[in-house]
Amino acid sequence: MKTAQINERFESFARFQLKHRKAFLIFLIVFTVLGCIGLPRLKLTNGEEDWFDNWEQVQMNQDHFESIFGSTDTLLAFIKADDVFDPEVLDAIDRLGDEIVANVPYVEGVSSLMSLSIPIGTEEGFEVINPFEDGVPEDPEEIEKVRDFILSRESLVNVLVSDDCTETWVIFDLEQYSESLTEAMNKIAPPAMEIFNSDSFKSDKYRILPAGLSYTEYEEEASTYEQVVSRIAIGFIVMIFFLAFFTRSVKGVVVPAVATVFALCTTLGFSALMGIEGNMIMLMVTVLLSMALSVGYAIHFINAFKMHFRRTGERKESVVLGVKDCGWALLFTVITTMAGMLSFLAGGIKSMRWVGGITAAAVFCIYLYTMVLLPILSSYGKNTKPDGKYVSSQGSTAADLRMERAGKKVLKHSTLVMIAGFAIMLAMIPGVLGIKVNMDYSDMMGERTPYIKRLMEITRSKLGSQYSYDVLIEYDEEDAIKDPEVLNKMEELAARIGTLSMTKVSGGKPRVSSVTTIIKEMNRTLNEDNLEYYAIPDDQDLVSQILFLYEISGGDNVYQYVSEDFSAAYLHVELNGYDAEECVQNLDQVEAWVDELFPDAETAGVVGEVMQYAIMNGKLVRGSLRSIGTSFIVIFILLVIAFGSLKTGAIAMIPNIAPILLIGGIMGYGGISLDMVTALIMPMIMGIAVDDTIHFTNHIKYHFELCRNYRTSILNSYREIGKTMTMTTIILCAMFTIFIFSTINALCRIGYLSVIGLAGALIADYTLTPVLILITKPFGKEDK
Amino acid sequence: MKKIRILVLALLIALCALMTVSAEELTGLQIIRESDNLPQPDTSSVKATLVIHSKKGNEKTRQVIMKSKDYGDVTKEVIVFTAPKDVSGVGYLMFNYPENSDGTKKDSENWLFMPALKKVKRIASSGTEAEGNFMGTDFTYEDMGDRAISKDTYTLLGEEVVNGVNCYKVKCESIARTEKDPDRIAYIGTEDFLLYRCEFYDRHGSLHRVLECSDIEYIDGYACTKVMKMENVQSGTWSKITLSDVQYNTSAIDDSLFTVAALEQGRIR
Repeated sequence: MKTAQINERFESFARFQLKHRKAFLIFLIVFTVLGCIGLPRLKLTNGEEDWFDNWEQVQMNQDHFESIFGSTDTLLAFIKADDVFDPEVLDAIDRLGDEIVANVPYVEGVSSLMSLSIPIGTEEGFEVINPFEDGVPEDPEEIEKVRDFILSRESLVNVLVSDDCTETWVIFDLEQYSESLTEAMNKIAPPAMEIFNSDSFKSDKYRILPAGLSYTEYEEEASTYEQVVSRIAIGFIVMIFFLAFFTRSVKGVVVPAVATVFALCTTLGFSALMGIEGNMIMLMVTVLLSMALSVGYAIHFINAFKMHFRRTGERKESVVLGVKDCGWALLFTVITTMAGMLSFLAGGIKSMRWVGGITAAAVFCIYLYTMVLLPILSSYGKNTKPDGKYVSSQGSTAADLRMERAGKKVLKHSTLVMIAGFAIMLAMIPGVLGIKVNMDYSDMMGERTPYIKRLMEITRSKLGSQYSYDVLIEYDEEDAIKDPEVLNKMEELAARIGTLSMTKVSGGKPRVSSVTTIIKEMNRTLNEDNLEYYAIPDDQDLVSQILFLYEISGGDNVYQYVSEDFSAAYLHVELNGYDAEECVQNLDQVEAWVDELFPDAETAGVVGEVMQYAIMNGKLVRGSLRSIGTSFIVIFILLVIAFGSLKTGAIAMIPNIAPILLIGGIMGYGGISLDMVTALIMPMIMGIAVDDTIHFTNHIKYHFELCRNYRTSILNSYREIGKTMTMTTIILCAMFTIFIFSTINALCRIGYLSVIGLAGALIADYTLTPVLILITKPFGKEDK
Repeated sequence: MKKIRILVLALLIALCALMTVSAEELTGLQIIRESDNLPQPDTSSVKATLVIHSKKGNEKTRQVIMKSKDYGDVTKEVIVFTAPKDVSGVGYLMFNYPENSDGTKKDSENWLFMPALKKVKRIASSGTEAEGNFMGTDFTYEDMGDRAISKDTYTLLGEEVVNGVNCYKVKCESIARTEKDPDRIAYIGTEDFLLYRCEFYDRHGSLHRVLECSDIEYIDGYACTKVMKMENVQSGTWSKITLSDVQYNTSAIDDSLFTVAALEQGRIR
């Protein structure tokens, strides 16, 4: 079908719309109210679980693990000092323990330098010693003695206190809570935060760095919420500013702003009614992108309407002609943007699918609201006389005419444009091929977020670590773990894991913990503290009795490492950082060792978030390729259908490959990893960038159908919509610039990569698109 | 490691001498005193079954033989595990000393026998772990011991029927406020001054644990609470101690049972 024919259908629709404008408005109001009913039910979550498409499986594994070993949530205070045995530091540790235990719910006990119960083997039996039972000694020599004693305990050095005495943990055990993590963290974190930040714990001798699952989850939620609210608020201000700047009318500001708010509320409301749970960080992408697109759609219509209104002075007729000019192109850009966003459904990552689906729906709603409200509300008002200044220039402004002149220059240097364009694209290819996949959650969040910075400081310390995994060994018979042979194999496995590249080593000691440490310590204690007995006993009954003694004496730790019936146990391995490829290799090696050492175990293997990240790594690569591939194919098909020609579709695709290569190249050369968030950028930018190509190509085709001359059609298009393309790109870039100032690394990357991609796409549309059309002549022969 | 303390089931396995005092004459403190003053036997021998129910519904069962003798200046107690099988024979011998008038107390003496080690080990501990879990159950050592009346203040809240028994409802508030559960509401029988229920409230005033006492029998004139169930309402776990073969002031308990040699020779049956 010819573009002119399609445009005429839009013209007819516009006339119908104006004739029944009240009915359209009523329909929109009812639609909005229905959607908004769902808004209170909207659930937005924020957590790592949102990234896992197979979260149910992950959760099942986690539940299975927790059903055996219980919850491992603790509240932690990492103490950093020049000397943690300084009396002032010890006193603070003591006070901190008391205050937290007294004021924070679920805290049932504290483990710190000040509350140690250390069993020591003696000739007669053993003695349980609390080195600071009577408080902090005044005599420095006494403190030195205690320091030497604590540092002589294998189970404490580089576990509770670093060998250089600059770091120590204060660990608050939390009772297992039956309510959800969200409910529990809201009770645990605020009072703990108040104590940690109180003046009584401020000193130049030490620093307290809090950590723990419920504590950091609370901080993450608060930090993310603040980011989301502030970015959306800034986004709204930016939107209003650009609307005012570009449209210079109250109606031009109010209508698109109202359309955006209503469209977003309606979309999110209906999604809530359908029981769809969203992601808080990703919501920012949806909202800001919707705002940008809304402004873009509005400007396309307003500019088209104004051009005709300046020329004719006929308000309603100008509205109809405006819809005729841009209605089809806008609808088509909506479809391609939706296709780009919907390609995330092929990605297989939960939050990506949500943002893809919800943004596609929001974009459609934005179009619906804009194309109902703007023409109808623009039709209200008086007609004016044609503006003589614009009649001769067909309604074009000085800026429009400047665009036309720029177009002439581009066409004049078409060969140079082609060579430069393709050279840049080729130069980007090695970079694209060098993109590394690495889903480091800490790197995604970035250290500009205060709590992440703090956690990273702990991670880099001798005592802390951010990532860990567990090696589960589960038998189907009770007491299997008490078998000395099994325990010795666990020792062997721990020793091997200690040699792996990603395993954290503190003070020469690999950070691998399991029940064997407890058994060895107890065996040594029961044998006059003789180091020879720091080993697994050969007698299973002795192992049983050691474990029993430990447990009934109040040693709760044992069930952190073994199941209650002693059929399962695990090794906890702390990592020195996160490098996806290294991790995958390490984990494969561990799996192979587990198979070798525990062939008769019912279940044996690696569990934990790192394992999930490793699985997700491969999934992300496949998912991203699928997303980009899907958006590429779908947009290509749509272009072919829209322009009714394979050749035109192929030509229109080339300027859209350019920004993708540009983004990919910068990521590759700049060492920016492909992760759950950066994976969004390329398909999204392709879906948005194609809009300008469609507007431009569609306009050229329309004019070609009228004049049958490529050069004239291209120059007419530069003049008529060239300025609008710049305006929409500026708005989109401004919206994405808001992300650049986010303290979350991932959002910052979305920001600058999108700005680069969109700017690249605009340049490609101004240069490659017209030159390719001029050279390949896709719409048929010219009239001579 | 936490210190092993003598299991004085004083509050719960108390003797009853029925007091005929009318409720209106009693304050919270008086009721607690009456309960605390119930006569106790000099010697006791019981078998106890400990059932520990985890949040996930798993149950562990342990059986022990407990024998004790009050010598006035010291209470000697021996505990030997009989089940599960792989820990059968593990035993403790404990000498506990009463609190002096000035609030000081001599450290208890403890010995441990592990059959697999084939020798007795003396456990020396300078501290007390009153709030530690008793034998891995939901009971604490303090629950099982004899808490000094001077540590709390008492308020009579009224009367309430517990399992068909009319009880005084007494609020016990810790003076130190350092305990995990500083407040308790004890339900003490108006007729027998025995404990029927006790609710433990944590530092934030939330109900933490609930103790239910049942199957109370009189043996040789002494009241014996045979079943004690402690439920942790916050974590969803519970533990039950069931007593059997209870013997008071029996001549079968001779002094030689409370020795290291008796433990090693496996004489505690």
